[in-house]
Amino acid sequence: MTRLQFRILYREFLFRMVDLELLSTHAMGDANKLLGRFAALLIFISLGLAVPALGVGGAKTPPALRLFVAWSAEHVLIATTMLVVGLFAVLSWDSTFPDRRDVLVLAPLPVRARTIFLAKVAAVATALTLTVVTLHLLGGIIWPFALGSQGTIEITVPALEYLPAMPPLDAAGIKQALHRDLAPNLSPEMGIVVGVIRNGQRRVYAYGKARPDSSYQIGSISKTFTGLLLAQMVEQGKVSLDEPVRDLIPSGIVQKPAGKEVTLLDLATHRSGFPPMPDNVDVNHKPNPGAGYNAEHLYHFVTRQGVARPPNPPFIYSNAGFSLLGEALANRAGTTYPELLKREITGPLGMPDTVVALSAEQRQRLIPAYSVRHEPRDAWQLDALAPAGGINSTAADLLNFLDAQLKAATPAIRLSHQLRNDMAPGTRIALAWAHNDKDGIYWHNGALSAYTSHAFFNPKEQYAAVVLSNQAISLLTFSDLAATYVKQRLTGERATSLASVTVPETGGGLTVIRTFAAYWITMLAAGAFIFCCVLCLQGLAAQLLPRRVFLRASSYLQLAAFCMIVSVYALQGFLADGSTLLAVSGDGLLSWSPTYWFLGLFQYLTGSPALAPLARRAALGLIAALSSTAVVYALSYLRTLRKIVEEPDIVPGAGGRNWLPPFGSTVHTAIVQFSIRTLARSRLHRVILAFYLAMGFAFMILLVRTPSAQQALTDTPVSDTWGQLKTPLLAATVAMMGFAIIGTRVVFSIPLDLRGNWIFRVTGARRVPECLTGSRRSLIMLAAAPVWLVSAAFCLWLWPWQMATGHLLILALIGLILMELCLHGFHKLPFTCSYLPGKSQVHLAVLGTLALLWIITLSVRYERQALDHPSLLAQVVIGLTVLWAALRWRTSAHARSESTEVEFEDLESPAIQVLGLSRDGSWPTT
Amino acid sequence: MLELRNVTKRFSGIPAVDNVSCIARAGEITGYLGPNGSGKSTTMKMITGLMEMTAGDILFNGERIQNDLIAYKQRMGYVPEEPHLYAHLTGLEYLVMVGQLRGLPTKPTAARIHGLLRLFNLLGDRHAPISAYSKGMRQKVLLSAALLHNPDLLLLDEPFSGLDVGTGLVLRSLIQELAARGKVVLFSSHELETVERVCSHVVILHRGKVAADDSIEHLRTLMSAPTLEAIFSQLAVEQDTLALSRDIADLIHA
Repeated sequence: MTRLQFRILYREFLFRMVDLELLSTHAMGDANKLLGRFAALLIFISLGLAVPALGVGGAKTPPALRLFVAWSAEHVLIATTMLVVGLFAVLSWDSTFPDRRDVLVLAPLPVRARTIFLAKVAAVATALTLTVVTLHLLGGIIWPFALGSQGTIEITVPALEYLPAMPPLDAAGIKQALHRDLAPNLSPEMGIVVGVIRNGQRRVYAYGKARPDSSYQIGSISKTFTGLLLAQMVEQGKVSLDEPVRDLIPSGIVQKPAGKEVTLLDLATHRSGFPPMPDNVDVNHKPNPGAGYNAEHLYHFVTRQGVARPPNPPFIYSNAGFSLLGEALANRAGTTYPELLKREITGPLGMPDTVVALSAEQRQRLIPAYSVRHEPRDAWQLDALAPAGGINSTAADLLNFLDAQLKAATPAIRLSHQLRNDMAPGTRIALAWAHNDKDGIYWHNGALSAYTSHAFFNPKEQYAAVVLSNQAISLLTFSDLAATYVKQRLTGERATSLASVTVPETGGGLTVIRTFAAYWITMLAAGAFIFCCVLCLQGLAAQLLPRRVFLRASSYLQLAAFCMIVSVYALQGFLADGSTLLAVSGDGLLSWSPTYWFLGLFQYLTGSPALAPLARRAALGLIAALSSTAVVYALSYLRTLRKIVEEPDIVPGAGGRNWLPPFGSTVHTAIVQFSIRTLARSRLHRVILAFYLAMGFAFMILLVRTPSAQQALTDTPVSDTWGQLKTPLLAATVAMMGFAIIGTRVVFSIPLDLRGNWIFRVTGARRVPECLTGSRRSLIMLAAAPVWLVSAAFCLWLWPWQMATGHLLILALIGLILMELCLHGFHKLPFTCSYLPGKSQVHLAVLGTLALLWIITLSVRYERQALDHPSLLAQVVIGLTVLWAALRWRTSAHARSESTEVEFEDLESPAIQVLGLSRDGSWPTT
Repeated sequence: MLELRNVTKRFSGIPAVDNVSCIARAGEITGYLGPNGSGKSTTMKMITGLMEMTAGDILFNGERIQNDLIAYKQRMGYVPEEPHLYAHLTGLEYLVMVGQLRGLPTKPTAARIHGLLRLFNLLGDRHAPISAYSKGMRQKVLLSAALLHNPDLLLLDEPFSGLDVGTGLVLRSLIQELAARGKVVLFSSHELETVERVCSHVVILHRGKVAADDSIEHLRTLMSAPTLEAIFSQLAVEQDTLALSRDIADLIHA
């Protein structure tokens, strides 16, 4: 009996898991078709997730990079799984706990509460498993094979753990900490030198194979020398920052461009539009890619590249640019770069070991470098690329250099510290130096051959340090890690552990099988975690709030969960570089992202000791989520069932505070007020609209997070000629408008209380033009006007009023055009016509959305140009107005045509299409 | 005067209403009766314009209602069989919306709505959503919505459903009062006692066809039956009700 009851209830609960009513109230079409389409959508996503697996790895990819790519891919897969399962959990919000329907139907029957409970739990678990399995139908086979079959060599990666905080240390006091935390973590061939200054006290510590006076290639830290050379020559009046670089190189090398030219400042701040490396450097040339690359080669590159400054150039970290800058400065000074360096910087600052070409004695002190495979690597000789990365130095010399930075003794040094532009969110650039806005630290790192280095200084707190290492970049550069450690010890923060773990060599059939198991366990665990979190949120609210308040708050909670899941997915970003891993392991906001925890779990299950702290968090999180869910479920069945029976599902009245103004004629007013009230009070419609708004919001966040938009949001001095108007922000407002209008139009099609629509039919609101006007005004009130008003407040706050007004005018016209497009053929009243779920075409909506985003991104670039030129703006406004008028006329004319009537029933397309062909204008008689 | 001429409605070729002709006159209350599935509600839906006829004509005051459906609807009030209302709106909001949809002037309509709510004893609950209303309260909202524009034609499909005794008595008198003021009232119900008290003229439908169309008095005489229930049983009830109930009791007892 009980088993049979369980089976019946389990099947009933499972099929009702996704709230079909939410997807289509009173769906009159085939619900199986809708479920089929959702499965198709999931498989489509699965295909999208699986395809990149085919391009992963390759024997030529360096092992550290291969590992990093694998982790990035795994993280994307985990995050996407959590997104999809999270959204599924939100969609099945009302089906996961007993509702009034369950209670009223089941309570009078002789069914034990335990049976209901178990059937519900089993249905929830099955639904979750089915979602994950469908999502990974293809990826779940291809990815484990791609990740497992390529195999990796044994590789050492940072442990990404944190050490307890200590009181701030000085240059002498840090010795003990380094001795304890750094020295034991070096591999046998490594040699590290750390130089520290604090309040005038300076120390140099050498570990492993290094000696205090060991010489290192400092790589890109050389750029800070080139930057200072520029500042020095500006102070000397030999050059100016806005001088075109063309004036400093031999005539005839490059033609004067038609528009703006690349200046010295552009080169020194990576804003020249130059590529990262000159394209005529053979980066695959072994063992020394830069050897023999002289000024002639560099000029040859410049001739082809040209010196036209692209409009609003983005930040591109360019060795080519700095090489040209160094060469140009040396030309103006009438000497060579090494000589200029000696004359202007290393000589006056007493840095005899800081040279481009080592002497025989210095070469003896050059420490040998090693790859991550512990194989020796040659030092690279750079010629014309030296200003970008070819300087050799020692820790003692670099401390002299950093000491000068701390003292900011000369006007040139002060000039070189002036912040110019954005590099990345939270980081700005001076002349070569990067500056962290958060802690006020200037820094630069370097990597050449297998040497890595990191130098930083904090002028406010008067400390500086340099770390020089002879081991190549692994997942995280050891110098960067050690420099972070030194900074943390100097400031008294929790310090990053310098310990490392060894990821064992993998490969072969066993690895594939193990990866396969790890993949599926991780995905299911990640899915279970997010599902349980949503259940917990709902269950706790049900337990803590009075039933009536809960009923009212439930739909808002559902919306909040929905927005949070989508926002976290869009906001947290993906695994961009090693520093992301460091941030994840720390105690910042990112460390709370469960997607990274499960990345750790994946590594643990594949047998890798890497990311172990994250795996621990995943295990704890999963246990907490599962046990809390079990508790709230049990409580819900013990307590809520009775509450439901005792208290009716009646939402208390609002006490007559719902006054709304008239919106035209009485019929128009009725339609608009009905639409506003329906959207405000219907959970189903709100959730669907939230889905569209969340997509718009996610797109907006992605755009606004770009560095150029970040700049507009901070009070950075902006070099832009006409104020802080930025393309991403333009696109963000347009996208939000688009998603709001389309989403609202979609929810208009989904009825509420379909059988109640007789009142519209019998009261005579049957004239299509009248209904169209009502729908149009409803769309304005619910979508276009709110987005426009928020955009207006935002734009007028941020931008000069002329630019803001121009954009708002265009935004309004785009909104009106979109509305007419959406309302063409909409001969219905909002929320009153039946809706066939199969017509939603959710799988095609994804493609449509991508196309829309692409069009928006393209068109706002044009808008930006238009906002620059009033005549062009006028043309755009006139063009859009004409387009809008034409579309409005078309929509209205279609609505006025005699054959159209207001629709209250969405009819299924006939299985056989009648083509309406006739012969010679008359039907054939036989 | 409302006149049905050979009205037919077929669903997939099967007739639900078959060649029905009858007249409801102004000043009298016409009862429209029939067992379940006889085509009553289908006819009502055709008269309201919710459903199209397969054949025949419906005339109001001598004019085909299809000629100007919207003008016809402005003169018609309808209480449907099931109280389907937009439950997310409050009673007041619903009535205001109906007034707006009918294009009634705002201020006098507001006063009329207030009056109706007061008379139907709904004033205290006017700001509560209809989802919180009892069945009787919903029926009162439907009645108010049907009377709001002072219609010339009143179509009442089971109007007493869910009403308490007091309100039922009020409604009965109200219908008579409205008919006395010259309105056409078509009244469909299963409560034959009420119909007998209220209506002077009945149309009895059986299997989609008119089984009787006459005054109650004349039918009583014609069929030698003392009550409307007896007339109805003879015309529209095919089963032996006593035998049927015995069979059911036997079945569950076995």
